[in-house]
Amino acid sequence: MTQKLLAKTEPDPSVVPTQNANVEGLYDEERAPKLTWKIYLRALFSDRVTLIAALFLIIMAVSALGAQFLAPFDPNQIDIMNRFMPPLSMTDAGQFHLLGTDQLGRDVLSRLMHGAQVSISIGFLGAICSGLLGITLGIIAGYKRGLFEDIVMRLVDGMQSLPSLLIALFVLFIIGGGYFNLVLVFTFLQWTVFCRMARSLTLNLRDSNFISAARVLGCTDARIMLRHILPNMVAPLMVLFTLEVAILILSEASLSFLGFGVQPPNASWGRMIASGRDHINTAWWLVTLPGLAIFLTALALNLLAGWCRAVSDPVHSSRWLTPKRKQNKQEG
Amino acid sequence: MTEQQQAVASGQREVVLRAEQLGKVFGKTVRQGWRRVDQGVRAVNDVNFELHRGETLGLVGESGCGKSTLARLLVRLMDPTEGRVEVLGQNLLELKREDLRQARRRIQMIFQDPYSSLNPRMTVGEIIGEPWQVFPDIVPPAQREARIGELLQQVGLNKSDADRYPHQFSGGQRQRIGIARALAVEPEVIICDEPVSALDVSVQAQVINLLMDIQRDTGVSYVFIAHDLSVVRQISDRIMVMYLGEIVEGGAVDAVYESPQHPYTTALLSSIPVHDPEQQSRQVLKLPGEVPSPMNPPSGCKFHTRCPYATEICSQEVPAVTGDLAVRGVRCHHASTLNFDPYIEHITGRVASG
Amino acid sequence: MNAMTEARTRVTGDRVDVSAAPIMSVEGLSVGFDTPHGPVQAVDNVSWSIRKGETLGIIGESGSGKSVGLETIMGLITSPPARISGQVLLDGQDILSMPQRQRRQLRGDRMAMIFQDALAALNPSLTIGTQISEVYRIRRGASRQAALDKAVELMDQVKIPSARSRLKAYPHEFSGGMCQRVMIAMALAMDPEILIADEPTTALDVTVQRQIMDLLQEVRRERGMSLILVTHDLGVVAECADRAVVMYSGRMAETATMRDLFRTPSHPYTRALLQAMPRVDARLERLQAIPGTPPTLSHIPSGCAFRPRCTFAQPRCAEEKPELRMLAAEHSAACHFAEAIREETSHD
Repeated sequence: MTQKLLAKTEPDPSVVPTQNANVEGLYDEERAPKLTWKIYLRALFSDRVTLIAALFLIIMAVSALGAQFLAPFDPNQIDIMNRFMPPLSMTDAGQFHLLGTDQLGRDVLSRLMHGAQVSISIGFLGAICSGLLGITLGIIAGYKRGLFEDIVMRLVDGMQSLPSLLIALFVLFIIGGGYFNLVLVFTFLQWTVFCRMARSLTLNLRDSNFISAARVLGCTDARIMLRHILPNMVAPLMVLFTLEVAILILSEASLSFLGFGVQPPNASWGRMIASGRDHINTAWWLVTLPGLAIFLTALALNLLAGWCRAVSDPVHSSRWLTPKRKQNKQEG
Repeated sequence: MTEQQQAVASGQREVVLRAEQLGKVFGKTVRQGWRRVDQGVRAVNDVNFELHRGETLGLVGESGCGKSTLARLLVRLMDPTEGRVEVLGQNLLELKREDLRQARRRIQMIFQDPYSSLNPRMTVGEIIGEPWQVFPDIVPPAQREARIGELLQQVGLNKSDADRYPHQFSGGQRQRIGIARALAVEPEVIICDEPVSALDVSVQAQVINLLMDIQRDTGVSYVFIAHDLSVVRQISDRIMVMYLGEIVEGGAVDAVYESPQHPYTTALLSSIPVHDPEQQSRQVLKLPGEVPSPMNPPSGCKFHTRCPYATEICSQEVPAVTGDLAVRGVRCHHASTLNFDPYIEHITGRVASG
Repeated sequence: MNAMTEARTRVTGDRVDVSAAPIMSVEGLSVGFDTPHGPVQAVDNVSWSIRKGETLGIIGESGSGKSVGLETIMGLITSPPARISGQVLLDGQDILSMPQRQRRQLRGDRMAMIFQDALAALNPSLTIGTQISEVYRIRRGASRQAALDKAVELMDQVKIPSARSRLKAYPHEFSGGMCQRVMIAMALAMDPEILIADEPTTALDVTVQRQIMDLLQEVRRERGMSLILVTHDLGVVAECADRAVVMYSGRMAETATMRDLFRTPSHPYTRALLQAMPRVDARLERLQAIPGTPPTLSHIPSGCAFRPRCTFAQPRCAEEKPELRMLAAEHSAACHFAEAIREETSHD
């Protein structure tokens, strides 16, 4: 019948009909295109505030990681002759201190860079350790349910009702301060946040059809948790992780300020504020600059987390990812 | 009658799936004095059937009738509260964890929603190949890649699709991936839980054809759950109609469609909109109200609250099954006295006299 | 017994006077959006009209633009962010160019809309009575009691049993069919001339679908209202509509009276759709499936959008977009070979 019809409409025998008739499941290559990293990058560049935050964090990370090579001076080198030099000043020996020197004549910029190393790495390490512990317990609790879930979640409720900074002070008072003790205390205090989130995400996922399908296929519980549940909650957990890093940087500063964190002479932002406190009237930069570093880093992390949340939300992401239209013009 | 149906009717074929007095009560049983009282929702009650090799059993009913619960009981995503499920003579309910995992190979499931039934973080190749990570003996590692390509072609996709992610496919194509995943373990039975109801009309037919082709080629058996009676007629050999957790009528598909004996079956059949504007002047058996809550089911015959033919006996006595629901049977007090011909003339083509 | 004794009635409503002037006409409506993957055209140059008392079916699959067009007419999609062009004439006035205030007045008074998922369309934290009577209180300034009385009246009309005692119920206490009745009651509150029903029965079971379709036809007949029925179910359209528009990939494929559409489908898509439907009255050896999948809006094929899936496709189809052409009275199709196909099918 098709042939008859074609003969009618197209008398020209040289026209060859396209060979796509009656092909079951005919294939078209044109499907929903993937959201590539290019689209995300374009969206990042069009959002100026987030872009500045991201650049700031990159600068911070580079100066922290490369502090050993990039810092102009040894952060612990004491130079009593050149104490309390304000920013942008030159010593008699011809050394230029961009951000001035402190009460012992140490270069503030170099100390900030080494302090960044300590503060940021404690933030990350603390968030990673508490994340590992919390997410593991949270997924198992959410997937297995039952008694284990009850115990873990009651523990979480209990922990979250404790005043965390006070507990941290108390524990650090007993075991002593220092880098690794700080990470330990942060892990102990912050895993609950990850645990609660991982559990609620797991509860949402465990009723999805693809989890049912995996069970019908005979997958083991461990496989379902690692292969099917965990990868599907990476995006929200990344947002939480970013926020946690910011919180831990602030906590580290508080604890170090109170003298329970990193021990002198090592620099950390909190310690720098603590030791500069006595000279706040004569040398403003000793408190202001590390304070500014803490504030800006936490702010940048929060901004970035907010942006990540917005673009990873499948409902609202298109608003962020769509390039801004130049003019309200009709095509054609 | 096709050859296949004849073979089924004479019982020549091997039974691959058997359900015996299968029931599921959600909630708990509570002691009142010395009596134990069900305080739960009876979602599925007294379901018996045998499924033969290469056969398709259609399961029809409205939402809330327990058909999806039944599907989950059959693959043991849920534990029944009573009865047994046998796959190739092996009782699934008595198996230990490890044996159950092994037995799962025999019975697979295809889900309704093609969007939530595939893990969005795995590539299509990983999804289809996953069963072999669990049961390494099905396909040796060296041949896996080739086998994934074969499976993809079998369901009408391209070999190169193995590297793509599910969100790059349309609904119908995702459903094909779900079918390929089920086929990967070479099952004897596939439970299809509304596999085409989320698809566009133009794609539905492709998937139905695909399922029929696979059955012809591999001899797999289907339990096909749907609410669309036209689809069920197309694919099923036998059909069972469910209402509030119970099978109310069952039999060979042509027999049930052309001479239904239960008023509910008739109402379902006559309610289907017919896509022929010239056949519109016909009688429709309309049901008042909606399916009652299973929390508080009606006494006697569960259908009596909506049944136009209900009499006193229907609200008092639970109707016994006439015949065998798996072969040709009905659960109705008045089945023998009712004539439904006027309501199904759009199916039979017979115009009722008078 | 009531249901049983109902006589042999036509399911379809009474036919409409074809010579009457249309109450609403859509002319060259186009709606586009910007997405992360570039601009897409969801509705492309669509024109149709509806007469008083008529039921117009709009048939299409997901992504065919059938809902987007109507949401634009209702003012639920606005420019910006969408790019809208064309005209929607209601009594000769273009409602798309009206100021927002005036358009708001039209919604409810002249036209109303009901949705597929009625439960989601109702506010879960307000009682049914409050939600139905709200319209009277805001629009007509009725007192609380008077508005509630009106609500009961409406609920009776849409056959919600024991209406007065249900005023205080919340949406979640209602079944899907009952929620759809509540939606219909709310839509009827201001006595609109046009009711747009967007897949009103898709989420419902067959027996309840039958009840809701009957109800819609009944209120349409009683009030002399026009009904626009959007659906993917050809059966529902066949039973209820007088005329239908078939949409594919944002464009109109065909428009015809129901009889013409089913007897002499002239667009290959309509034809294929009719053949692909499983039948309840016979078991076929094999369904005649349409190959391929509907195109995504960001990748609409050149020329005729249906071309890659079409059995009649010719090289010409890839180059030239077929325009909608009149084939007979009330029958148009957008295919280069529409006349030939129409002749072909009428001989079968």
